[in-house]
Amino acid sequence: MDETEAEGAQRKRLGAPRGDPFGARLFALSEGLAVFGGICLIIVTVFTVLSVVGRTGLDMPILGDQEIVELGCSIAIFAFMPYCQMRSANVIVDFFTAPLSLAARDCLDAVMNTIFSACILVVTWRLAVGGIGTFNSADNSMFLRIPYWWGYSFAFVACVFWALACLYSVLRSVRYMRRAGRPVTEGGGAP
Amino acid sequence: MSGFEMGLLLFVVTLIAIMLRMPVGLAMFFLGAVGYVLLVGWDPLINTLNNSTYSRFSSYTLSVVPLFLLMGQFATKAGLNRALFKAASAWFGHMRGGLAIASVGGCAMFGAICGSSLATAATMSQVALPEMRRYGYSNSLATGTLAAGGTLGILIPPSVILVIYAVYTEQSIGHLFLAALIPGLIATVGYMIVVAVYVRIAPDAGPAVGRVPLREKISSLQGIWPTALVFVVVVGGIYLGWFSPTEGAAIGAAAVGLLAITVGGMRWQGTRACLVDTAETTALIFLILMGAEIFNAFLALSQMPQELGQVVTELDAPPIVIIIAMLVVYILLGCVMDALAMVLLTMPVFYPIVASLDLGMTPDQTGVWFGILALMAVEMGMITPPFGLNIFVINAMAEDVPMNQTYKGVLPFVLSDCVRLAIIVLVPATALYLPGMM
Repeated sequence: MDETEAEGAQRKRLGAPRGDPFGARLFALSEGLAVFGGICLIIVTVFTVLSVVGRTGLDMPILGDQEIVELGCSIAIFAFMPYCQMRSANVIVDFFTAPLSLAARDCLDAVMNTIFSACILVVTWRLAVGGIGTFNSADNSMFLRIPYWWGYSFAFVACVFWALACLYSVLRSVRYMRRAGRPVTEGGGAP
Repeated sequence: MSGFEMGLLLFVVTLIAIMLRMPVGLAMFFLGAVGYVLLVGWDPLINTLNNSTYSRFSSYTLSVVPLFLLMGQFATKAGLNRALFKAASAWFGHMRGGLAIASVGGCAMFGAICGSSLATAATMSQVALPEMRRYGYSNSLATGTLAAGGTLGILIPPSVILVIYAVYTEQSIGHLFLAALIPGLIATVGYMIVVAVYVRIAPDAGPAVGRVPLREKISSLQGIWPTALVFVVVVGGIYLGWFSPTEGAAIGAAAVGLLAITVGGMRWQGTRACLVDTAETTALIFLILMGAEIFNAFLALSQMPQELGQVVTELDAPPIVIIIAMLVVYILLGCVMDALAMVLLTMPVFYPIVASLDLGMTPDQTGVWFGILALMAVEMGMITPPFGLNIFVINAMAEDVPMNQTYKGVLPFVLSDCVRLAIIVLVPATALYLPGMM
């Protein structure tokens, strides 16, 4: 396998775009959102440890600790999505299209990213509808009475960014297609 | 068109879309949604979407995934990879190929606190690769060992893929973790044997390094105990029901995070790096989970998996042949596809078939055993050419090593994977003994 093939088979992870103020700002925003989500995850971690210690060591269980974990993790995960999109880190199979020219591959990416954008726009729209539904029915969690629409609201905001990131990646693939080349970046990551 | 045909057709279309660079999670989401609309209409689909995304992302059982990923990130910052490799090389270094054997051991131990194969390959390479090259190990042996060793990260619990398999097939996470333990040890020993045979055939590939005095050997063990402690508490606690898997992962992440701050000197910049890496991996997993949700709903509506199960049962083939056929599918798919994506894509079709087979085990036992087999088969994909993510990661770190040398180095390990898979197919007790014991 020669150099270009290896590069083709590798998942692209992109850094902040250069010479593109809108892209750079969107990248910085999504990165900030990811860090914010990560901090939520750390808070969930600390809270969960306290809850286990309280329950087993001090005989003081925290009622409804699961609800905090669910809310915190949902915030974290939704906050992570735009960043992954901006980095183009999603899992794709590159093997079968490796013989195609870079421009052809970028063209395919543009099509796929367009479908991606459409899907995430629908998801965002339905998330809003679902959130309004929980607001109107005043659904709360069982123990702590946390209104479900809190979680939905944040998820909606994060999904708007996610949709923006998707739309931006369409633009990006079209640009790469025109220039028939893309920046060389590091390899991808999945478990 | 019947539901069965539609299910089959869209399954094939999904595979084609994935081959044409559609992100795997998106393909499952989009084509699952198309099928859903064709079967029951647009309104039911959008009504499902009102709550399905949020409930998937706020699921308590799945929250274990980002927490385990965070724990793995912290482990590197805590310098545990360095300590583990140091201890292993103190004990094995004087043997021929010893540093490679130590790399396998280090990977296995790191796997006990890391649920991801790529992360294990990448972190252990950071410390082991420079050492092996310093002592003149051949490129093939050094990179091949680390690429293969990385897969131990996910075979040895905790394991992100096992967590997700457990959630989707309603098995106990604790049972699956325990079941993976003996197969994980077999894998470790198998890889060590591969190295030993390798250097017997090609003695120059892995020269021995100087013997370390016993006193130093013993003191090197001090580097192991934090890892051992975290592993025993987290996996043991989950199995014994002291806490839920999510709580176990949180305890592990907190403990390793504390180590990273105190021992590893991690500050804000380091924490931030851990967070964004966790963010990226979590997001790509949850996109696939989001797609799998809709795809599975569609497949269930189409009744395709059940009918296919019927067809397979009517074939009257011995159950073991069907299991082997599935594993072969995984190994072939693994050459071009990501491990987790493969599991989620095939599980709604394969699992009902497996559950209907009469293998002389209880349904739970069958589920656990098949989970371990599937995990091992898909993990082989991480090191089989042409699309082996572990190989790419290692190769990116050893830039001057040509790709084909890494491929050559990894082949003997693939062979050992096949032998191990055969052992676990033939002797289910290797997986089922531990969970059944308690």
